[in-house]
Amino acid sequence: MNDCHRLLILMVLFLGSVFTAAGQRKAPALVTANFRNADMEQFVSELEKQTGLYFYYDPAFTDSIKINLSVTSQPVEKIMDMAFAGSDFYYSIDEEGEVYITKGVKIRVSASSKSLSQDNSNNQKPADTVIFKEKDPVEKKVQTAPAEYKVIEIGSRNLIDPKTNRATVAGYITDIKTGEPVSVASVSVETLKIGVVTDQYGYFSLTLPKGKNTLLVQGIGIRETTRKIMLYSDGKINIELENIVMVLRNVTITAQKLSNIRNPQMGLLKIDISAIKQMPVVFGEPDILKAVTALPGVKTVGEASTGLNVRGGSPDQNLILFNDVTIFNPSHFFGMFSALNPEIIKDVELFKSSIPARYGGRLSSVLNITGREGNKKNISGSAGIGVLTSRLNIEGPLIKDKSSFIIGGRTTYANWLLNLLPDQYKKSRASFYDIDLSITHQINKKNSLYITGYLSSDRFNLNNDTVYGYHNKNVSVKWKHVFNNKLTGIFIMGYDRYEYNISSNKVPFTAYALSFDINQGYLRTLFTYYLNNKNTIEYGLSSIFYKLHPGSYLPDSKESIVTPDRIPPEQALETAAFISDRYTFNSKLSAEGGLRFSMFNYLGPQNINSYPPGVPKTEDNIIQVIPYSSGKFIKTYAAPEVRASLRYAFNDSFSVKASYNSQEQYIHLISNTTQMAPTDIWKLSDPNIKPQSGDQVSLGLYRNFKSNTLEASIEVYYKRIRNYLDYASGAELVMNHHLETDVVGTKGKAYGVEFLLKKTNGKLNGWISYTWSRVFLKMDDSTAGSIINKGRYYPANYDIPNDLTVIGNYRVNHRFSISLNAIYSTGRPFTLPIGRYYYNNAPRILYADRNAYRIPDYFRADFSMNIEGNHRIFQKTHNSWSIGVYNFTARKNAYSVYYVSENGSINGYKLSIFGSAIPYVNFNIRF
Amino acid sequence: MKKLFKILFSSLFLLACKKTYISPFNSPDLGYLVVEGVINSGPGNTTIKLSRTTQLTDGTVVMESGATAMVMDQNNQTYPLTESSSGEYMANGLNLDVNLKYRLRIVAGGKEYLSDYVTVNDNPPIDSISWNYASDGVHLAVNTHDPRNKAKYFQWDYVGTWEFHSAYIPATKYASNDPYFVTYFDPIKYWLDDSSRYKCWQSEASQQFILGSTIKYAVDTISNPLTVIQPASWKLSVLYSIDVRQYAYSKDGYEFLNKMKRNSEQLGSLFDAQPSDLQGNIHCVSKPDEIVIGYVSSCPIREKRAYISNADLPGWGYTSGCSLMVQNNDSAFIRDNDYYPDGVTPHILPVNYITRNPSTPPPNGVIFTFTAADIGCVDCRLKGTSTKPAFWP
Repeated sequence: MNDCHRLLILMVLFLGSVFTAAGQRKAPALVTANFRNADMEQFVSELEKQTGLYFYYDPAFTDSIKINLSVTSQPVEKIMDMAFAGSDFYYSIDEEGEVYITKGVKIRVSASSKSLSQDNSNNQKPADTVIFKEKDPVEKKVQTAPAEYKVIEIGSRNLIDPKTNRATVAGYITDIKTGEPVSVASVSVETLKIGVVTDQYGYFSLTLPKGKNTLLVQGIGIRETTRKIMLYSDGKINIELENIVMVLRNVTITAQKLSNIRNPQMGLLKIDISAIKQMPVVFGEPDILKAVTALPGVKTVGEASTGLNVRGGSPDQNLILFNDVTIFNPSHFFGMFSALNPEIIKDVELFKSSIPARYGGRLSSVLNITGREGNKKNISGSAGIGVLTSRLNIEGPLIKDKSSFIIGGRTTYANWLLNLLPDQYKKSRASFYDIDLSITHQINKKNSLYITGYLSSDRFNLNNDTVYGYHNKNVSVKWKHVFNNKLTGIFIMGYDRYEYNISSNKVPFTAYALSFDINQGYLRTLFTYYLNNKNTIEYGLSSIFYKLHPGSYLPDSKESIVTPDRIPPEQALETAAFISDRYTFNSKLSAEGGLRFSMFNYLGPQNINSYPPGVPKTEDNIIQVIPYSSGKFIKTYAAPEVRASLRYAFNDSFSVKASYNSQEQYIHLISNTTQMAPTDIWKLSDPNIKPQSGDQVSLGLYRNFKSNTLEASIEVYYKRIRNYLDYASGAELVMNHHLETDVVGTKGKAYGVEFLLKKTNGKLNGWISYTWSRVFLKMDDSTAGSIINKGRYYPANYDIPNDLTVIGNYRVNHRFSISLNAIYSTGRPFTLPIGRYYYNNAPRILYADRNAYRIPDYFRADFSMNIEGNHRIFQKTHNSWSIGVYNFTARKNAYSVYYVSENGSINGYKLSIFGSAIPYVNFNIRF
Repeated sequence: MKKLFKILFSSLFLLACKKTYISPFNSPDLGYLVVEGVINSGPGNTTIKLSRTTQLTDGTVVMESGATAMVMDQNNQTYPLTESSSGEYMANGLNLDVNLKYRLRIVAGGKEYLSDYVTVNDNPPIDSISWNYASDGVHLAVNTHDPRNKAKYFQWDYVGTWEFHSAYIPATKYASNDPYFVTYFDPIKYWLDDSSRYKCWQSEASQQFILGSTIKYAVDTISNPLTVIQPASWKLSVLYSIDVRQYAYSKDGYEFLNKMKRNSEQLGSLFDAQPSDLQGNIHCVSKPDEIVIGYVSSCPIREKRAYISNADLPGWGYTSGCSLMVQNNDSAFIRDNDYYPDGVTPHILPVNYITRNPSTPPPNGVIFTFTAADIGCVDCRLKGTSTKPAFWP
């Protein structure tokens, strides 16, 4: 008899989760006891103590009973007859002295049940869970009828509640080989057109009519399967699935095939890590953020930049989460590579129009990067060697099937290569590394624990003695608790830190060290309540405590005459409560509505500069400096944020969606450089710097062709931004004790239309995206500072109207594929000189309106080949090569255009960063 | 493999991919007024230069001639400036009362321009000009301290002047009656009569903004680099002199110059700030929106001169780069070849004779062959002036 059958019987026998009490098997004894309002637990434990019997019962069904009984030397059967008289409780005692208390039905005790209960010595295992293995690779000889053809009974026919004809089935979908959860798998009942998608933990909950149902499980890279269930009452089913073996753990680019039409969420883009790995990239470093920039609506100001501009937002308006930790600077090497190790990442989701209410604090988007969970079955790993970096990751079980770890690290070895450079570069040094660690522990079926740690570090100097360093440090602990089939809760606690430092000590007299850091500690809760098939409710709280050290400038040698300067630390509390409901009116119409109420308290101790109303904030206009004591609430900002979206599906392959979204942002990255620099500073809102706020409406049409393998979509949006901080002309941002004087609050507007055509399967896959969009800023309030461009709207630095991306992959066979990227975009705006004049014996440049002209357009094409080793499953290692050429047309794209006065004349220059074709080779091994 | 890495890295490290950019946009001809100069509250000269902005592609300097300029104090007392050369307006020894505020009034192109009132900034004397002889050249620096801790923002400019000599002292010349024939020339006489061709001077003014601030230092002491003279440079082949002027600014004035410096000298690296528009303290009275470039400031201008001699620089290694060629004294050849490429002005001058008619010694007789050199190697006036500066020792 195989496992399934045994467990099935067990399930039928044991109703609800089973509690057992210790005892010894003896001949039934007589009992003397006096029960006063005793509940089932007290009752049973007294009987067990006196008789040595084992009792099995479900507390959930027996908590209503109160027993009032006084007995003297009575047999246990008599006592139970008396106690249960008039109720619908029944009991059965088997030969081994085990007592089953049931509600509604009396069970027959058989020999098989007896042996079962002995086998199943792990009584902690909730017996109503059916562990159903599709195919056990170890026991290949066992002849099993395919799981698809069996009827699995869920719940108990004895527990049928006549008041409702529906019941909820929930459970986890996991990978049979690694034990990792399978997220975004679709679990549906085709006949009813009811379906849900598993969350990142592989969890799903589905309310169905009682009776016979067929669950269809579909997902990316897994073999589609069905389960026939007979649903009696609420219960669980865990399904272990097989991968499609031929592509190992990684598969082709796919977004949620079913959900792009069905999901009310708009503007959610998802890329699987395997798609990212196929894309040709500079130096062959698979790069998550670069891949995201290939999506419609996402731009970047330059190819050496990992700052994302999502729908006209600035880079700091993106919340970048890696397993719930906030990454403040996701880049290495001053922005050339992203600081996230692709080897340990499962997928990347970008929310750019309707952002779920559970996320907040940033205006433009949420980039949710989900790490892989470690292999729960065996130790495995992978390693890779590239031109610039090497990486290694190891994963495996800590306790088999229960807990696992995954650790990944990358490092660069550029220093020795820098020595090969001509003399003028020789003094350059660059190094970086990053380490990611995730631990997953399944405490029991209802509780799981996830621990994430992240560390990234960069050190860099180029041709001089000034050393730049910057570091991310993050840790989080997450506890997931399943209260019941309908309610799950997630509790997250963590700490994020970002710091940078610059030091120079070549000249001891002026040696200095400059440093900055931002810290946040947070606590978040998220409850998901599957009310019924029509409503899924999410609610929770989030609280962040910020502590910033906005700058210290200290002498770095004994001789140094640098005056120590410290900007006092800033602290604040950001709290938010949110609730949202996803409501399905019918199979065509569904909606999601959410409300998030956020509050920001700027806390003492702090000295606040006070400016009179109606005059520009300048140093001269400071009328008073008001000191606040520690813990004092200096300024509170609060605002409701609305998240709403609507979907109407005309049929299975055509839908229309609309959404409205509003956001508040209390923390700002202040920069006056073209691209996000590691030395840009983060600033909290304070009495002088208002929070940024924004809202967006968007509308989209989604149409799938060729049985959902070809997806097309059009989305339009219009967005308003208030109090976006732009730098004042000639702003000094480093070590500024009154930053409010050097930034100006601008109004912004952004609009655009995005087209996406995506082919998800087949030998040829990939996507074409085209975006037309504009973003303008405006500063017209002369009382708030100096007006920019005479108070007219001016294009933001990242206003890039046309953007066309083609990402293609052609799988020649299972071992060989080729990929091609082509990217065209309008040049970004820059401030062009309009004239010249002489000053201080040299020609000088007269600049006029900010961002009035554009640098030349951008075009790039890349090519790569991915070669897999052989695909036999049972070999020790699997290896793969990727060989490619970045920018194979060798076009010298302008990164920036600038003018300098040199040797008595004014010369314009165009700077290209990757101005030639850059070949690369990357070798990966998986074990 | 090594080569491959080099290619990879040169492309990574930016400078390899810097190319000249020619803007497809035409810049308008705006002609905004540019005001440059500091009101010298001390005994020296006050010079205010007025000019106009030009198109980006237009390399000419358009000085504003025929304007009226004056310094005014709070009590409306005026100190007129007179145009000393085109666009340069000067006054001598204003010796202003440092307790008053001053401004500049300009009438140019039919419009009146006024600056904001400015206070007279403290400006301590320059302590010293120091230099340091290193493998990459001579580093010059200016040293200043303010015992009263008042001057925090400085600008310096300098004029470097150097003496240099021709490579050769000729003992021959083209004959006065036949410009294509070489005759004797007495080097002693040359020394006495025609030294102007051997000893010359050249000078050069600073072009980059030299700005320094002591705001981040605990003591008001600053040692600020001025310039570096490249090794073996002709500037130090004999004697070099630097005349440094020091100006003190208010924070705003300093910021103005710093922005101008950043806008024109410090752009282009990946993380440099973007150009910003300049807001000076001079305004057009009738048209307040009009752009006027300039920041008027006042302080006593401090000046200091220092000398460096080639004798102090062992192994300086200056070479003239000149070489001699040997030539027959053949009029036709001299006329038709490189000696007179245009047939009128010589490009190559004779230096010394090699063979001559042995029967008639110099200064008479015929020279058969001679050595010759490029004119710049014999006549220093091609690279400088032979007028000795008044201050030269």
